[in-house]
Amino acid sequence: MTSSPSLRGAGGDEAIQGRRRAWGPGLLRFARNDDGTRRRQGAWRPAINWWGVLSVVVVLAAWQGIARHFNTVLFPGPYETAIAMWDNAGAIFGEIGNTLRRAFTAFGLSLAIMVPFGIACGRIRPLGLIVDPILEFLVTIPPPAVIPIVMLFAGVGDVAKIAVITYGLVPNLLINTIETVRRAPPMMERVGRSLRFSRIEVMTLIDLPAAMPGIVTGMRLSVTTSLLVTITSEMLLSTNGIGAYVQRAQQSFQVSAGLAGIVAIAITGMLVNLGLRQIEERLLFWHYRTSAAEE
Amino acid sequence: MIWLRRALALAIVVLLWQAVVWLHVVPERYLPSPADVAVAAVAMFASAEDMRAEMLTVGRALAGFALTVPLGIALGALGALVPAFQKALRPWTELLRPLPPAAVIPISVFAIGFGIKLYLFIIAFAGVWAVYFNTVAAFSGTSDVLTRTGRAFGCDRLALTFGVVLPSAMPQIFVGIRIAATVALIGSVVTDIFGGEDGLGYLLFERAFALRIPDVFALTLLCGVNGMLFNQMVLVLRRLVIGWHDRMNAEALAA
Repeated sequence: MTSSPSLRGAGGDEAIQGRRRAWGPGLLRFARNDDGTRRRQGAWRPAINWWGVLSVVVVLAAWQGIARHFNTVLFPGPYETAIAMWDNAGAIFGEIGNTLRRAFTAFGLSLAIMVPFGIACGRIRPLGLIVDPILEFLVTIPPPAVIPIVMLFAGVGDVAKIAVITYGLVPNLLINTIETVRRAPPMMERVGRSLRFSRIEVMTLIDLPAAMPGIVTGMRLSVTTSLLVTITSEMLLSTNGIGAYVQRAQQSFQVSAGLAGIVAIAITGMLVNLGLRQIEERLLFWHYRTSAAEE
Repeated sequence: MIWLRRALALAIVVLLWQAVVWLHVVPERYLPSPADVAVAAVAMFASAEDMRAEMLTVGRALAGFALTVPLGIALGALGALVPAFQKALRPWTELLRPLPPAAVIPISVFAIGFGIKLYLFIIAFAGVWAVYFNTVAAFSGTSDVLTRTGRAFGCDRLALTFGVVLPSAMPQIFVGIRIAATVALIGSVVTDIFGGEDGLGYLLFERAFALRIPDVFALTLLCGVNGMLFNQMVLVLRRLVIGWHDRMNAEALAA
């Protein structure tokens, strides 16, 4: 089987691939020089996204206006949210720390389990043939829906959350790895065979590097997913973490504090994404270089 | 062949599962045998309450999906055709996309209340980005040959957009649509859990707290079945909308 369509990695923007010419948060971007080479000095020039600035100002002003109009603590404006962020900065930072620690632990564990397993499934045909249909069904069950079952086995502690997150990362990590291993040029494996590589050697020395682009793309998508699933499961299973914080704040009608938590989540997610893109480009410079040469 | 493999995989999973039950690795209270779950599943399909929850969850997911896809395509087309719009949207996409829908449910309740509106909002919020990004990328990636040919045939901007660019962008837009379909189901279940009073997500937790464990397993499997149905739905939709594209590719390969 080449690939049943449902087995392709799912994700937000993996469709937009190839060399990036600009990076940076939404308002400030660093554009790359047009010749495409990466010079040490002066290769990046900052460019302010004025349309973005304008839209942020307009939306914030409109939001403040509406909030002023309703004038209730249940509908805080950006100013009240900023105040709440400042007042609760300590708590929010602490809880974000808890969440990140949990998300990255689970992410690391999933990586350690799924990359080797994915390579094995891609390389050992009978295993892949059995695992494929199971995955095909498994990925259709949303992570929040498995929380009750996980609760039965693992309670509501960190183990439970890590289990849910690991489950949530299957499509991005496992399936991406399997698919890239399968798509690797067959010539490489033949070279390995003529060098009398053992099966393990083929998997570690050939399949692992060959699958790196898929794995790293999967990693980038899954870090976001792991944050998402961590926060969702914290809302249901936890006493700490930013998810629990937001849930608590809103249940006690402290809407501005809840909103402050949400803004903190958004900023954290954005920063994590930005950092990952940088790491991806560093790790995979050879891949982008060759695919650019083929263009 | 694929069905044979699916059956084989199912048999292996059921056997392993049964083996774990027989070996008493986990207390039977927590891990019911496959037979127990099958019985619970049959009861679930016979139960009016459960089927009503299923209809509600799937119906809301469908409604949300039907809203998300045109919205995403429209925003994406606007973003690709009007660069200023794309730039203005960028800070918001980067901030809002990593937000878990579950986290915004309580706050949305304050703003828009419960009910179908909440479901529509959450599903659109969670799924619109995948469609948007794929549409922008697909529109910007339209091959020059196509647009120039269109222009040579005397298309104006409108005809070019709807007659050339949109059809050639559809295959990639469907990548986003497929994600949006999955996300719509997730959004529907998540809203059941955090802001609902019925539906599959609500039922799941109700049964879990009542320790009706085989029911929980059956409902979870039902969520998976829903996912497969939605996947099939997108495939059928894809064949209807861009079947010509696949046939053309197949012919090109055959030639």
